[in-house]
Amino acid sequence: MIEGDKYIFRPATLKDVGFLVETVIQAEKSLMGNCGMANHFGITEQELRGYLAQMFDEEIDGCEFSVSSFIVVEYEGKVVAAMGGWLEGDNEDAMPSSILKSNLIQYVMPKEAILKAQENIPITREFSIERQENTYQLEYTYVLPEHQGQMLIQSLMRQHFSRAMNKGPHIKKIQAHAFEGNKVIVLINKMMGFKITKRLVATNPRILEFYPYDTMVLLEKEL
Amino acid sequence: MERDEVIAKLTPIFREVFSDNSLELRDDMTAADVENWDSLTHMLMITKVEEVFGVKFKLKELNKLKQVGDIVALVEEKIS
Repeated sequence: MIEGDKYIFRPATLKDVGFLVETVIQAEKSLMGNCGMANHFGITEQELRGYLAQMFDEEIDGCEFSVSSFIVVEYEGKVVAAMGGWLEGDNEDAMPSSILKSNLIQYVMPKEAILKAQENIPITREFSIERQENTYQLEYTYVLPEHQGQMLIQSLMRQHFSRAMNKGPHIKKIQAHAFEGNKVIVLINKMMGFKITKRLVATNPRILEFYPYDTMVLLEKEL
Repeated sequence: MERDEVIAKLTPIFREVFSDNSLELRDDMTAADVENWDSLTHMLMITKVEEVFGVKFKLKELNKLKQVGDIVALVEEKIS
């Protein structure tokens, strides 16, 4: 039986890269059965796992592939959950996270994968996310199945809210994205004080090769 | 290679990647100034720049490229 008081929350370290890779993979596969990000680059899930590990190992701060973005949950010495979050633009060179992420992908993936992605740009661009500077961004969450139902997502969110508030009073907003069809995640976000502020509806039916639903929502919470 | 030559070779890459045949590069131009310059096209642009100039950028170099002038300067440095 799981005992709730045994959960320990802490910042992720390089030792957690394996779980962070699993977090990204499971989030990308969520509700799809296959991995949309791997599809986008025309690579296998196994290949993507290797590239993700390389990206995390680079220790670039300030985006979704940064070890420092993640808070993990340990249970009896084992990592069982993780959630990413960062302050947009708060990194060594004040770069947008989208560019840091692109640079990481471009740096570790073979040219063929990047060129393959080029073919899919007109389709996936419909869900291109614009992240506002000085907003706190939440991205990628995973809880091991045997620990689901323990309110870990909510607890991880609260940890990130604290992190966001500690960045200073100028941080006014937290943003997250979800697929509207993922009712559970949207509901959890709403329970945690988020409101849907934008809805992106893809027009190309091929979007479902890369994402589980054709509608993405922007969720925002005022701090 | 002179700076003007670098810009002359960069321009068609930018025009192709960002789907704008009239795009004229300026040193202070950033992603915010160019329609379609997003995370997806950014990595494609870098890949094509590396290919055309026969160079490979380090990750730390990539993360300091804030505007077109930075790209021009880095390419010049790499091929000099």
